[in-house]
Amino acid sequence: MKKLVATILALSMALSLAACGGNSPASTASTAGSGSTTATEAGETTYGLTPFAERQTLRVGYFAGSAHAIPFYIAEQKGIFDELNIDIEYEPYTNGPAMMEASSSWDVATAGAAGDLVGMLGYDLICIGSTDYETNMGLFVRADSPLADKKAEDWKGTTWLYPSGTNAQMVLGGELDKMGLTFDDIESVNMDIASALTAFKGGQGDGIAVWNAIATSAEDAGFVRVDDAGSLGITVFNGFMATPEALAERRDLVKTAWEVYYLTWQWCNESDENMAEAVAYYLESCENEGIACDEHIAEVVMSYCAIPTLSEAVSIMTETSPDDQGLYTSRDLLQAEKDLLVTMDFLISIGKYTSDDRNTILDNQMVDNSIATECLADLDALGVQYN
Amino acid sequence: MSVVPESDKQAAVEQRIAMVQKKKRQEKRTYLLLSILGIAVFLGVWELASDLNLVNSRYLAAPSTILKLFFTKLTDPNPDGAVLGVNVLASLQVSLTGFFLAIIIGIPLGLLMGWYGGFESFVRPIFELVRPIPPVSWIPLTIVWLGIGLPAKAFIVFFSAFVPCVINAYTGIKQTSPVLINFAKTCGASNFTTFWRIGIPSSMTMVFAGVRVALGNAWATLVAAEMLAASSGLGYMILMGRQFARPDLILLGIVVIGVIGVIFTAILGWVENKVLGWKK
Repeated sequence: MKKLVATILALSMALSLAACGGNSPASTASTAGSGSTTATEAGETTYGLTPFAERQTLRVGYFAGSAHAIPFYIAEQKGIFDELNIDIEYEPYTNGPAMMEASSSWDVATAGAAGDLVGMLGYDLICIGSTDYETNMGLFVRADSPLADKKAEDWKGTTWLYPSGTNAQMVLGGELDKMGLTFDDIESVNMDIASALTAFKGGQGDGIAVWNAIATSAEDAGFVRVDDAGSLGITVFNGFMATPEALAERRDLVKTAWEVYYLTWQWCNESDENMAEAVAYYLESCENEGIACDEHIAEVVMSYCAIPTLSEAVSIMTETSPDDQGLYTSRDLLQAEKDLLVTMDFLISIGKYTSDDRNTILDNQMVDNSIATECLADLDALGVQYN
Repeated sequence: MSVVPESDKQAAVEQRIAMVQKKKRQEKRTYLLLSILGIAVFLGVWELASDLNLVNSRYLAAPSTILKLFFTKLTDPNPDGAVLGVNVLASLQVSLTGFFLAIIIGIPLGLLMGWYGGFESFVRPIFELVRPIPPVSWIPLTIVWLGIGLPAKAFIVFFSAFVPCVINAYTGIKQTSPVLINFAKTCGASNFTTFWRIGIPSSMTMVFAGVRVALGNAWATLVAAEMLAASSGLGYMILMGRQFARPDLILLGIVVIGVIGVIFTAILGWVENKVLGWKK
């Protein structure tokens, strides 16, 4: 009997370990080819980057289900990091503030502007680049709803489900503003996007504001897209974040992550075949992370994805012009700062932040272009082709 | 041999009673002072640690900052969108609805399960299946079943408070002295009369202990319930504090929840003394 019990326990432990060791980004470090790097010259690697002499571990804060995180996953799956002698450890999250709170667990991450602001103001994190300019951040109503006609009198008193203090709220605010309404004219209910869609399907609320795979799922469920960030012309910035510790102690690793991220996105856009492969990777990533997705949703999400090219990313991080609001006069602002401030200024306008918070970010140069400029110099020196 | 007059004896007894009562009052005052001193020292050390920058104020706001925010939030709805009074009322509505439902349903269920074997056999397997399920895991189904309003949030709170009510009522009535039961039967009391007159009163101490646990659970689940969907409430305020990296807002929410919890525990203690005074 004891032997039988021992055998059952051993088997269950073995099964548990096997389950934990799946190929989910949630699991652990990449083991594909771990320690088996043969490339030693820059020219021998896929992107022409120089591999590290010693094995490195890059900890990535991974925003599950978001297109802006996918270049990390693709690069890891294609062995790009491995040939550069880098292991990847994923730390998956489904919302920005939680990701920022746990910033001691990662070196680099991508997140929406609302999360970036929390990271900067609460945890001294630095924005070193811009990622997806998310246009697939939409407002959805039921097919038979008069709200689709976008008349102010219909919208008054309606109930909207969305995550408060996020870019989704900013998009809803843009729509209300267009109709001459404010948030006081509607009833807002704070919900995470997945729960909002579930509740909306269950007959709750009059509309939802959601993004990415959930937005596409809403459309697939027959809900009508009233507007989105793209159609409203609202800049929805997503940042490439790094911890101060990583920037100080593992700067070369952060730079390599930055280069690989944009070069991988360049690879995705090189051909339809590559993009089809990228879509498959996105779907695989969602499945690993438990995000509801199918081939169609993956295709739509990736078609909306507007990560800048490497050249554009550098421009966004280096080109300067005066503050559009005319509030900050100490210096001209980087384009990335101005894009981030779109969300910041909206959140200030609804009382979530103060102008002191705005100045803290700008005074402390928490959008830092040094990584972008150093990467550009390194890539030029190596003769790496980029667009 | 001199005989002590009866009146002197009486006076001596009264004097001793007065002395004991005075000593008890002094002890009570001392303990109260020690409790206040403990809180003051705790807050003082916390404040000092913040002032001396031993802890980062962005991770742990000082008590003085929280107090200042308390007064600000009485009139200022920012950044979460509701003033403190609205948040407190919204949370009271959710937690008390769930808590009282748990008492109304849970205690009779536990008592009946503990007294009637057939009923226990019928209900207990389902209860044992449901009991270990964390209240938060009900959230996705709750949205589908009950929507996102008060019933849904109260259900999450109900679930966390319901289990201790049932278990304590069940255990309490199971521990009824067999001597009392047999005495009642010998006197010709019916099973229901014995349940009503012997079982229920003797289980009350355990029932109140369960209600105390249930009250704690109800408040503890508040944040989770308001994660489901909310536009006001103390849990919502804490979530918004997280959303905007405001540890002072988070701590204010925690402190208010704690203070309300203490007030409710005191009220419950008073009710318990009234109801169970006969046992002392």
